[in-house]
Amino acid sequence: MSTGDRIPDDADLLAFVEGRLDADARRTVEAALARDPDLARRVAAMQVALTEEPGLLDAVLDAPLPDRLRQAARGADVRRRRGRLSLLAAQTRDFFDGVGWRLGGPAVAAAAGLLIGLAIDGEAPAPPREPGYRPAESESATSSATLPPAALDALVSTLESGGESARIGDVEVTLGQLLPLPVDAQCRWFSVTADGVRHGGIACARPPGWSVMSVETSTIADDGE
Amino acid sequence: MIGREAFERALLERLPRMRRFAISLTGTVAEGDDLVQSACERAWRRRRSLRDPERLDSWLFQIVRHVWIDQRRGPEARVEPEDPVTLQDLAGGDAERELEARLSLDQVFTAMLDLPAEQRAVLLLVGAEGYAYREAAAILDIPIGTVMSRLARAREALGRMLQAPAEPVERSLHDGRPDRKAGT
Repeated sequence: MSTGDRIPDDADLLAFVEGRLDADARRTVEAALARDPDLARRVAAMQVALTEEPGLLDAVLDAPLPDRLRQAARGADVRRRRGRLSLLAAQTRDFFDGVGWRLGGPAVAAAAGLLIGLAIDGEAPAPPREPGYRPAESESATSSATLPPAALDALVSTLESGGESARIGDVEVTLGQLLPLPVDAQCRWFSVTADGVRHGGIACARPPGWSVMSVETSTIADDGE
Repeated sequence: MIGREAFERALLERLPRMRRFAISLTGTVAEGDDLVQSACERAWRRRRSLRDPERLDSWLFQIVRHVWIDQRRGPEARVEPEDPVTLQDLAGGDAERELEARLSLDQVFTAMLDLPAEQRAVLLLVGAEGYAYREAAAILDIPIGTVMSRLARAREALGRMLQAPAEPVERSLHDGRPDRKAGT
């Protein structure tokens, strides 16, 4: 940077506050700051910011990582979504066909499509993962028949109570809302943990009670990998 | 090319920094985490395009930025919820909400949210990550002169906000920007 009355540019000011100027260039900037109070205020503000920069958002580095991010980093997310697609497609279709609701084909297809869409794009149907979650060998191959009796009882009890979560004995239940279906059905996603096994899926209300439409099962490992 | 296990390990190690960069772009934890998740998925799909494992860090930051741009342009662009989440809603809750609450009390972060996202990105990459201007320019795909001008403006604006007397701030996390209130 030349001496004289030249106004320092951004590169000069950045280099000045970062202490990267040689002695001559530094004196030139200092002379400009002495002449121009506005410029001096700008540089003072930049120096304040500079002191804070190394710690920007440090809280994020220290915070626990959501398990969905760990799963994504493991490359598991895409595979899991694909697995749920076929399961939900089949079970949703079976459900609406099987209960004999008087629905036209398009309405059934719309309902099934919505649930499948939720499974692919939304987070609700995916059961929450614990740190150390490890997919079971046949993650998406389970059906409602494999939900243990104690887990099923706790799930139904919680669904009927209208609550969001419950702990019944050693079984933990968490419920969440799904988007409204284009048919007369009330559905919720659930996560039930019993004996170190987590079952997640969708349950829908139909007279006279609730019906589990789909379940996927995962084991909870002790450590991260 | 980096092997599958090594890539997984490297990605896991870099998650916190990817997350910090993503949150600096989006302004909220929830949206930042969505961004990181999508970026991880894209990174896995494009893993074979990473020729130089030494450049993994900047390659991942580039992916985060590209996904962010795509999300803002595309149909996935978020619709603002009708009811903004405020500090009162943040007591307790899961890890994301706890972090959101912590950040909402971070004077530097809330001041930073008044900057344009492009300036926040430069500030984070140069100031916190320690990238040289040239490296930041490569990650952000902008000329080095633009990096310097954005950095100078960002530092000046952030510094002025931090110098100013504290104002009451009510965070509106739906758009990641604080609503500054006059008085009281």
